[in-house]
Amino acid sequence: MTRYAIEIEDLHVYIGSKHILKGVNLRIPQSAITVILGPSGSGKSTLLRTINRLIELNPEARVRGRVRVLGIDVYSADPYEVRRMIGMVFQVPNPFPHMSIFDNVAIAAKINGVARKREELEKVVRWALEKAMLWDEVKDRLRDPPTKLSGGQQQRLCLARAIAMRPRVLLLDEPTANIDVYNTVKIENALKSLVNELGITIVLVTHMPQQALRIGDYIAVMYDGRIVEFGPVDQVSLNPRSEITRRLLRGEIG
Amino acid sequence: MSLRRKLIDRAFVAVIALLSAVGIAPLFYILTTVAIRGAEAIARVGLWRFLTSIPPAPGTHGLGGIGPALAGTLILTALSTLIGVPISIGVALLVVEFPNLFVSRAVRALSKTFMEIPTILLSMLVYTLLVVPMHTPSAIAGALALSLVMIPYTTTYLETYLESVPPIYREAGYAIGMTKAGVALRVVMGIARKGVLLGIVMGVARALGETAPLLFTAGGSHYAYPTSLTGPVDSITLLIFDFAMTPYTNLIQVAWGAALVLVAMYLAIFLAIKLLVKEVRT
Repeated sequence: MTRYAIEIEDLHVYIGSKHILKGVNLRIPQSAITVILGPSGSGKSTLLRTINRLIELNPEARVRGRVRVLGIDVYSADPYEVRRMIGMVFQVPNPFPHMSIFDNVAIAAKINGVARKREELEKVVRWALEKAMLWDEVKDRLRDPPTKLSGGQQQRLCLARAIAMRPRVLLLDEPTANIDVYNTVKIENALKSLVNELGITIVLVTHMPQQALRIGDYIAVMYDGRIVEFGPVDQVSLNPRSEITRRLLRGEIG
Repeated sequence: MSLRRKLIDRAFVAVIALLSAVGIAPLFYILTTVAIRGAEAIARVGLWRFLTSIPPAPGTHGLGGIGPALAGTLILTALSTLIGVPISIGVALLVVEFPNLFVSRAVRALSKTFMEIPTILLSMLVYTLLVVPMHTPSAIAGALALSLVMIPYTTTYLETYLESVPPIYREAGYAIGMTKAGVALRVVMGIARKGVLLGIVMGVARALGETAPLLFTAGGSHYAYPTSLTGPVDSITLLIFDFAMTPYTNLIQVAWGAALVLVAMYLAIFLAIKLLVKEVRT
């Protein structure tokens, strides 16, 4: 029997007067990669941001419905506690530009109580950078600012920062939309090993069907604020039930 | 046709250049005059003596220096920075990070209003609030009046710099579990650190050069060093104001020297910031 890390029930989101999510129901299996696939403007990023309550940074956003992460009702819990068990990587790489490469990773570990002492921190930072497949490239320049890294390296640094929190769930919002193939492959491999070795639950948003097929264990297809199809990747790709899924996979919408 | 266009273009450039020159000339004239006349005055007694000794009594000969006024200015500036900077940072963070709170909107409106109040009225306000109950003008009263000038000014600068930090970094902070305070202090302030320091320095510089807020509040003598924070102090600006109005040529010369010292203090502060604080590249 599949166990679910995230359960979303009848979720509506309004931003100002716009109805963005129109009753989303979705159960995301534990220790697997679930890809949310959909054209731009379908509400994928909004859905992702409701899971860790980052949506609330927008003062115009209103959320109705239920989100449970690992059994915890997200909207009646402390938002900071919720965010501490959920890592997130964004579309635009956003390492803190005023901190060193080392501190970018260390601060996430510190805030979440993963490590405090210097030696512990050094261990966690190295471990997280290795998991993000960045260690070899930065081990001799940990004191440098992240702005000296390439865009793809910066994104892997952001992944390392999220990993250093030791999250149970990892959310990624189009993490490879702005980077090259080499870095995309590295990130995808890193994500697979996070699931296999650490049992992390990953939710990845993308508008690229190829990526969904490459790394997804499950695919949720989103269109106009609703989930139109959900299932294991083979089932969705070989036997799509929804016409929208078929058109998305053929590249007719995106 | 093409010749006509060329001529119009030339004429236009010439007019712009002329207007710029007209605009800059007075500033240039003032600065060079201050530099020349000030240097003349300071050279006659020597820099150290000018900075540390007492000015000549009216009607006597010789130059002396601006010791008490300089001491007063240093005390007033330090004290008003101590009062004004923490408040400015707090207000700017409140207004930028919590823009929807009623308090934030009220504070923002109040800050803008204070900016428009003539500084002489701020001096009178502090006179009523502090000088009258204390029965004496004082360094504290002067510093409070200066900080009232500084706070809205610095706050506006800080707001601009804090607001310029891209939202993606705030999101990153919240996503790793930072609290609002954590994001404000460790992320936003960190990224905007050069701007924050610049804003603070602009405020300090503003306080350094103000005269009107001190008229009813500082009340010190040009001839006596300050003895306590609750007693009267002098300032360079008050000294320039007084001495420039006297008929005595030696006092007027001291005023020129004092003006140069003030300009040099400005320059030193801005140069230090320029050299010491590294900008965060995003």
